[in-house]
Amino acid sequence: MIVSMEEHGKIVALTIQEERLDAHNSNELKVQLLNLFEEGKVNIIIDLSPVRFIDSSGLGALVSGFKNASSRDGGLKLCGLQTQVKSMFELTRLHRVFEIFPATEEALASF
Amino acid sequence: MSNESTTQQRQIWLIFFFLGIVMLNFPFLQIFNRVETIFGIPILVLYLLCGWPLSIVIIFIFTKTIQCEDCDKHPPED
Amino acid sequence: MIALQQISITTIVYLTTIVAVAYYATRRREQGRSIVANPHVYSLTLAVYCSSWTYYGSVGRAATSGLDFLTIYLGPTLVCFSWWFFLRKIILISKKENIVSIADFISSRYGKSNYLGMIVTLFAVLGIVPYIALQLKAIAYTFNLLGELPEVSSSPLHELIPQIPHFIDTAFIVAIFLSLFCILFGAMRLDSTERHEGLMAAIALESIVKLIAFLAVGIFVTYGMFNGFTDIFGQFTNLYPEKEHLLLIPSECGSGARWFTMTFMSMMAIMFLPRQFHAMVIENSDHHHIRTAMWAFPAYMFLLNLFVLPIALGGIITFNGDTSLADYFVLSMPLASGQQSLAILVFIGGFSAAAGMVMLESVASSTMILNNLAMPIILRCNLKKSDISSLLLNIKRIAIVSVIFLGYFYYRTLGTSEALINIGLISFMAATQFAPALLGGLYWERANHRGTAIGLIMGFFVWIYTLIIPTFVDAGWLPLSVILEGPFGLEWLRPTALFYLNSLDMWSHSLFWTLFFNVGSFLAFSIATTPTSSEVSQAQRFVQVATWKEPQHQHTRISKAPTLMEFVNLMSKFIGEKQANTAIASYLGDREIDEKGSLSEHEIPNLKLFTEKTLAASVGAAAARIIIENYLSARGSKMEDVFNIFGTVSLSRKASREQLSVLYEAAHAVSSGADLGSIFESILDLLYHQFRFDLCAIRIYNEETNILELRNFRGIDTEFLSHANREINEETCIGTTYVLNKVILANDSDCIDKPLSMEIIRREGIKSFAHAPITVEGQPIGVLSSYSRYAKGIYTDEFIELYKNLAAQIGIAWRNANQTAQLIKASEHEKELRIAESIQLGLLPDKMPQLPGVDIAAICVPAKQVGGDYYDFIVQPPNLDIVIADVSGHNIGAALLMAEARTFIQARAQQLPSSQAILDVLNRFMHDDLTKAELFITMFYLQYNSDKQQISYANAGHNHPLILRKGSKTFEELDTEGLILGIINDVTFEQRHCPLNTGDLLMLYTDGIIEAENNLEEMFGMEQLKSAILENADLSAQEIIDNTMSLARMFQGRRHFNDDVTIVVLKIDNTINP
Repeated sequence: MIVSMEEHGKIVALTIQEERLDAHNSNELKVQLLNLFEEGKVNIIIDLSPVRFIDSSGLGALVSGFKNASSRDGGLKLCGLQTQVKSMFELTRLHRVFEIFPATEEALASF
Repeated sequence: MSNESTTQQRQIWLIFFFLGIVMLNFPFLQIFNRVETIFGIPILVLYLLCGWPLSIVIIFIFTKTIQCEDCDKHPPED
Repeated sequence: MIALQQISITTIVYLTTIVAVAYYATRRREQGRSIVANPHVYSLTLAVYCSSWTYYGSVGRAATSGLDFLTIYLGPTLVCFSWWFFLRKIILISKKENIVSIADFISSRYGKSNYLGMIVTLFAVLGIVPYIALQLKAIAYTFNLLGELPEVSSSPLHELIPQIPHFIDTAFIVAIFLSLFCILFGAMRLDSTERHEGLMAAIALESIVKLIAFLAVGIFVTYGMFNGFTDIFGQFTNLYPEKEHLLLIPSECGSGARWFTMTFMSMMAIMFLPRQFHAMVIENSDHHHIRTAMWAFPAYMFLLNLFVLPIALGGIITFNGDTSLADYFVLSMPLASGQQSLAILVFIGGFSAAAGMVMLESVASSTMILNNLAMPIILRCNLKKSDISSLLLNIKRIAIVSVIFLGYFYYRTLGTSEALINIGLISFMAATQFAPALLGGLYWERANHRGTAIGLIMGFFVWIYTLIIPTFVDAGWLPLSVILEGPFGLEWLRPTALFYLNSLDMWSHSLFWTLFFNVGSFLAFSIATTPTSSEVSQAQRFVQVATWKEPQHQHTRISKAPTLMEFVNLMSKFIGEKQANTAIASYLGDREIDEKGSLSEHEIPNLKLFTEKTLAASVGAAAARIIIENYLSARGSKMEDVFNIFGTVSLSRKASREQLSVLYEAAHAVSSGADLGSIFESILDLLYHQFRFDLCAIRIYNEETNILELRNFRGIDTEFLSHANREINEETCIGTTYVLNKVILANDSDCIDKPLSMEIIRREGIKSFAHAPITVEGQPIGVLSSYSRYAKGIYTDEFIELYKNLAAQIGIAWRNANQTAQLIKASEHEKELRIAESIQLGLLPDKMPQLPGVDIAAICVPAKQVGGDYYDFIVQPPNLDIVIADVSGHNIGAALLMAEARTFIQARAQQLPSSQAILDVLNRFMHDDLTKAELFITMFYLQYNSDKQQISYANAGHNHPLILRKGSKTFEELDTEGLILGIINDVTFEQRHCPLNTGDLLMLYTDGIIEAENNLEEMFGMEQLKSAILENADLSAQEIIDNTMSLARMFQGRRHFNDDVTIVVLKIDNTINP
């Protein structure tokens, strides 16, 4: 899966450059996030703006990232959710769990 | 065909083969190389016209004696 | 004078008969009832040996030079003695190897050498073109003689149509006729066996006709014109006492040699003239026919020669001692006595003799030209056409016409000179040149292609010098001085007295010198040079044909092997589709095909051999080998050795028992199935102990670090270990070994040129060492090293062979281990999915709850690979609880968590007051496990109370169930506040209520149905789901589910869903009473 990464000080901003975040690639994201945590980078923003579709596995990867970041006193925030993705979050009520921002700038500012 | 009989056949063949070469060549032919006739036919011509069919007969007899397992499957063709 | 029309019509009628017979034979063969596959027909086809040179020329020779014409037939008779052993061997080999010509035979024997085939073809064609000219001349001459036409440059057509161009003479017309006939029966199609039954039937018929004609004229002369043999001999000796030498062999110097020479040449000619080889070997249908041919063929020749002398002597008497036209006594005697019908019969007999020879010779030559000359060029051009069989066929046709017309032009340029007289013998001498290559190849394994090629070239050069040059001198093309004084006045180079050898006649002289150079170079170069490996195996196949058997187990495999169909396509390209299919069908007939309809790996090398042999039958062995090799190398396929437990290693036979046992043990270790580490250890142990090295090591390339890492070792001290890894470059010997993929060794470590290695080696006090690349599929993956601190010069060539083999076995072990690991991984994954699936399916209720007034149906279709859906019912009247859930993961862990959730719900649901409470407790209960597994569950919990006709429900982030009220067209979606299970411990789940009345419909589902995707990545979606329900709302719950599922399947265009699909439908219907 293609993920672009920018570092803004202690904060790492990832952009998922895929249309889908599902069973086929969510594991890669999970591993990538774990690697970041091991490097001590625990403040993470994930930009989902290119993602058109997310399924339960994709959510699972984000949740796992979220839990790991929280347990390390960091945070995992999301931004750029498309309507369909957003509705998925609303369905599962995960929008109550994650901090979700329209764009990276706002997310950055929130840290 | 057992190996033994093949080898024996082969040896008999070689003997006949060389015998043929010797008898149809010089200096053996010199024996008949004379201006003489038997029954009005020159002796050398007679010798060759008899020796030749004789060797054919020998081959014929030999082909009949080829005993081999093959021949059980292939009965003699003639 | 016989009317031209009469001769022409007779000839044409006869030709038509031949065509009819040939056609009939072809048809019979197609029906599987061959008339040619018969020992007597076989013997008759061999009589193609007796060409018009025999038919007319024997009498001519007898009338001019005496009895030596008999040697031409005595030689073959003597050879017949050997046929049962010698000819049978050639035939067996040819059948086994699908040999199609003498050139093919020689090239095949010497490692399928292409250039050797070219040499043989060139010389064979060169040798027979004059011979064909002779046949054309005989037909044309006798035709003109019969019709009393001027000898040359005239034809019956000129009589009829005078304006016909001048160059079209009788011979030209004959040449055209023969070309057409040859194409008709020799090149109608490319036959994968190169047998032409039509042609052979025609030749057998011609043999009968020529015998009958000759016997007829012989009997007529002997008993019609004279009073039997004695009368002729008596009259002759009385009238021409000065010619009595014709009845003797002049015993003065050289004659004995000449007699022997001619016998010997004819012995060789009967075996090795291309047409004889073709008739005897290629067209042979059953080697048992030899037994009959052995006596029948000499008997034929005897009968044919019985009246030669009477006719010759009778001719001398009849024509008053004039022998200038002795060559045609056979025809001119009946003409002189006014026997016109007999004369025509004689002409037809002579025509048969000539035509048979021309046809067979041109077909045999065209096969050689196509396979050995044209084919290599075609292959080099690398034609992209899918089917070049028609091109090949046309080349063959052109070759036939070319050979015949080369003969014709030879006749036109040299035909009138006396040069034609000796042409038969010149051709015989050419055929004799093939003898060393063939005989040596059959009985002497050491004979190799260099010896053969040089021998053949030398032989033919001397042949040209000693026989063709004098012919040119006779024709006036070269000055007479070349013969008398030698070229450029060099006396020792005189063509007929080479190196001052002037005591022999022309033939003996030529035979001696050609064979001297031919056999001499053949022996010398064969001994001096080593044969190639493919040559060695071919040599064994040929020399030991009776005992040689295909190895039971193929110890080779082909990497990236082509499939069966690809082999068939390759064959089709050269022999046409139909033939290729027939061939492959016969191949597959007795072979096992595995369940996937393809051949097992060990069959592929056999298939490759089969393809090569099949192609060889059409294009010759050398070309077939090139085709296959090019094809495989273009694909990147390679033949590679497979090391089995018996260690099929290509060590020389001299390898010591000790070395072989090492290899055996290494192979044993590799095949033991132990883990990679222990296999490496065992192999290093072997090296270390058996050969007493001080250090042995295996380094394997690590992709991530880009370094050759020490993997296993023996005898290396810890200090060495700390810097044992090597980088991939040519700075060190080990790096170089890896980079260049070849063995690097130093028998004396003082002589190496790598400073870095030098340093290490000095430090460690190493005297000699060797590194061999460890390869998998030809690519290096590591290096096997051995070092000695005490001895220099221990690495012999033989040891290096063994060493390379050990390295190769390590590579095999590595490959095996990797393949095994991948297999285990795949099978474990597969197994896990199966377990998960069975757990999941085990969770689902095995039957629907039966409740009055409620119609319930549910389905859960697990996806092939992924899935974690679950639904359940808990019946506690008047309540019916419905649970639907989806776990985010797709493995055993997810399935187990689902089982856990189910057990919890089943156990606790009855004690807990509400849906809300159940979700809350369940979330707390599962939280830790879900967190640990990094999974979560979405769940919808719904309770239906049939008394109150009411539902209460709570949601943990699951898809919203739908309610379609009676009579309504719009849906209500059920949702409450809450969160998916397993995220946080403390979640407030909301609970809601609503009525569910008679006629209402409730559907619960998971995301699998609405996320079903078609090829355009469009999803089934809520709207389609809703309209599906609407359309089917009046049907039963089960029918609603069925129709919805089939709509979804139709939408996505395939049967299987990517994710689990679960639907539960509940219809309130008071008419239902269980």
